[in-house]
Amino acid sequence: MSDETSLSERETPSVPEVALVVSRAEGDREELLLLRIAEGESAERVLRWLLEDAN
Amino acid sequence: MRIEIRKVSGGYLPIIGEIEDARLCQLEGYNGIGKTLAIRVLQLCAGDQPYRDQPAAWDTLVTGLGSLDVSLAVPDGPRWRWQFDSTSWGQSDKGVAPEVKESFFHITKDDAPVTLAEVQEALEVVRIGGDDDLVDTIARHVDGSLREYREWWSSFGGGPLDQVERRADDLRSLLGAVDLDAFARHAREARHAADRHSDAARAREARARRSGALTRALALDEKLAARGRRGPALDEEIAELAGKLATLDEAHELLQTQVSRLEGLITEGAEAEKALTNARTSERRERNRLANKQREVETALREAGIASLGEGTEAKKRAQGELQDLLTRRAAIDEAPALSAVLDELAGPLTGAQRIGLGASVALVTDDTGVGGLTVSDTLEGIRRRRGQLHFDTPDELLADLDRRLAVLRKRLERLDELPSLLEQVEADRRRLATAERRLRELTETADRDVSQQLDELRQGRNELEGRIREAAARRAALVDQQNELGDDATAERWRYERDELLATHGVTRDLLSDAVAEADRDFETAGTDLHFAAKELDQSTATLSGDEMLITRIADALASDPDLSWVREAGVELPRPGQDRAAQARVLAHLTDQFGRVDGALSRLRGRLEATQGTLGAVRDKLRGQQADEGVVFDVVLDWAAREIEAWFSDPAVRRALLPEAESLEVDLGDRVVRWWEGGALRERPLEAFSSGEQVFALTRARLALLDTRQPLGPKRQRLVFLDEFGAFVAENRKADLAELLRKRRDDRPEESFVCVFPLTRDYRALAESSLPEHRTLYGDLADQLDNREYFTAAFPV
Repeated sequence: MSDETSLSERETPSVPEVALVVSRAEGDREELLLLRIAEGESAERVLRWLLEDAN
Repeated sequence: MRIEIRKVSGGYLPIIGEIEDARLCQLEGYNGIGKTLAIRVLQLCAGDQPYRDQPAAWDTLVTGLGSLDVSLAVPDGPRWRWQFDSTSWGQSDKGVAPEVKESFFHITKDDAPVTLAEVQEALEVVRIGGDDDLVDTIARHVDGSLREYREWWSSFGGGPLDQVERRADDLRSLLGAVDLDAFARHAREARHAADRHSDAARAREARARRSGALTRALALDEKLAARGRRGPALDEEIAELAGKLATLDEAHELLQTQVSRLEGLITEGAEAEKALTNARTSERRERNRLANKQREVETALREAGIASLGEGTEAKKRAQGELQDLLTRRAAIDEAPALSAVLDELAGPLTGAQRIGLGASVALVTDDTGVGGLTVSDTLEGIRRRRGQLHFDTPDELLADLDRRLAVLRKRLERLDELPSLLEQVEADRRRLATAERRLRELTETADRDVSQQLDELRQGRNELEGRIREAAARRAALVDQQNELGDDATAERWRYERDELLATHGVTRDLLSDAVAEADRDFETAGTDLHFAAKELDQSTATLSGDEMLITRIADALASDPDLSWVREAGVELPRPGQDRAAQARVLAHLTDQFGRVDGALSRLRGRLEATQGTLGAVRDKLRGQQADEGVVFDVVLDWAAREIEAWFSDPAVRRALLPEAESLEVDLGDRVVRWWEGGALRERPLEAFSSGEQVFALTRARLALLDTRQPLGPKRQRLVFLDEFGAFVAENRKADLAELLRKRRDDRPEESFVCVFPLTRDYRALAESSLPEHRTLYGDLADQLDNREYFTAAFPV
């Protein structure tokens, strides 16, 4: 999954709506972070993405 | 769906016992028979806690329900069964009823034990109260969301999010191992310490140079002064010592000559002494040897049985004759038995020949003529005589005596054979002894015992002389050193020039030179102390910096190769390179630390907000119920989310028609607990509590049923049992048909969903049966019978 995938294209079967709303209120990157983790992406891939983002 | 509730023991609270078919039925009965309690118990059995906000009701239930056996049979599905004793569930704690626990029940599915979680996965029991107003409905919705959220957060926060955080910990703990600010400070301190050490070393070197120069100047000054005092006297004494040494050398040479000569003599004397000792030893050895040999000759003469060698020849002949005789006798004794046997054998035939008249016939020819010979009778006679001579029984003593005498004779003959050789050896020994005695005599006469004593005296004298020579030479050497020290005139002039140069260079006058040297020495000592402390400080700061550098190297190595940090390498960020300058590595690490701080911050914010959401959902629920609530960082967001959820209910046309038929657009404000809408160009507003009429209850019920569809989807393995309770007081009789239509449609669309509509008893069904048309009379009569038997009835909804 590329980082550019829009949020609407993602399936969020297990994440409560209120969790998405709360993280989205902080910003799109935060919501994307929640989704990446919730979708079972590996810890290494999530951290690599975060570090690339911070670079 | 068939439900049975059987009281086993204890308990005083009434509860209905059976619902025969719950697919879509109406349960109607007297008040106080336990209709709602049955619903609550079934909710508990399905893992829900309907008493969460009713601690007093919970405590009553625990003490009053008792031991029950509950079963729920799904058509063409499993039969669930719960057995429990409510007194074991525990009272509420601090105003909160406990959540449903595994330990509450013994649960079976088709008689096989199962867990509560398996029940929760397969079965959902929902109660929609007709007495719930909009606020209650919203609060329940938020509360349901809170429970779902709590479950999700428990698995998410402790699962995948935790895994990401733990992996991030690897880098955090690695980067946290070194304080980069402290490293920069330590590096500065080390540089400053190195500068201070260099300064101190230079200062000490300058002090050392000044102290050395002034000390040199003072030494030159003192030498010049000494030369002025002692120079001439020293020259004279050296000359005197030179003469004395020459005399001593001559005397030593003379003594040495004498010593050498005597040493030659001593050497010769020593050799003679040695030869004399050897001669004595040799003479003694030869004498002993001659004596031994003479004793040996005497023994041989005695054993040969003679007095002198002159008797030897005769004695030997005698002995040989005796020996031959004895040997013959010995042989005869040995051959007697064999010869006797031969003679006996010969005598037999000869005797026979004599008997037949052949006695005169010649038996043996005794000469070459063939004439002379022995007759048979002669031969036989000879045999008889010889046989008579032979002795057969020689005694052992005689044989032993013969053997002893043979041994004596043989020994004697041996000795007689040895004697000439022994006597020759005696003569040779005697000649060697004479030679040894002559040599001893000659050497004894030439020995001189006075030379050694003379040599000792000469050596002593020579040694004393050598001691005196050494003393004089040492004294002369010391004086020459002193003379060199004091120098000659040219040297003295050079010294003076150097001293004055040193004084001028260091700005010191001769009269203050001693004080200046002392002061320079003190300064030098002080500079040494300063250098010592500077070196110590430098060591400490270098060691500290070295520790930091080792950590930085370790971090750089880990970032370059640790498999757990591959994600860092793959992120494209700049990393310290092995072998890179440490300061550069530290700068890169500082940058990486900043970047990771943003990663860490994002994870922390996510956890913080999601964690806060859990409490905030509870706070929103409490606020809706008019209770005090702690508003956290995400309160407004959650409140707004809840408001949007409620607005979505109103988007259902049936709900909108029932509640706000004229509204053009609508907004829910949970903060102010109002609904606002535009109607005819005017903005209107109504408190949430105002939505409670019968029409509105129906609308709310419809909305709440719609909300059920947002929960976990139903299916062959998940059933839902919905109780619509307490509707009698709020749902107008004329809307029952609408409600039935709504429920029938849901039932048909959702085969896994069943409905029980619970009403209080409102009609006299016995009277109705009696006054109804025949087609209804049986039904009403049956319902009246049920009421008579168990105070409630169940029937297909609506009746």
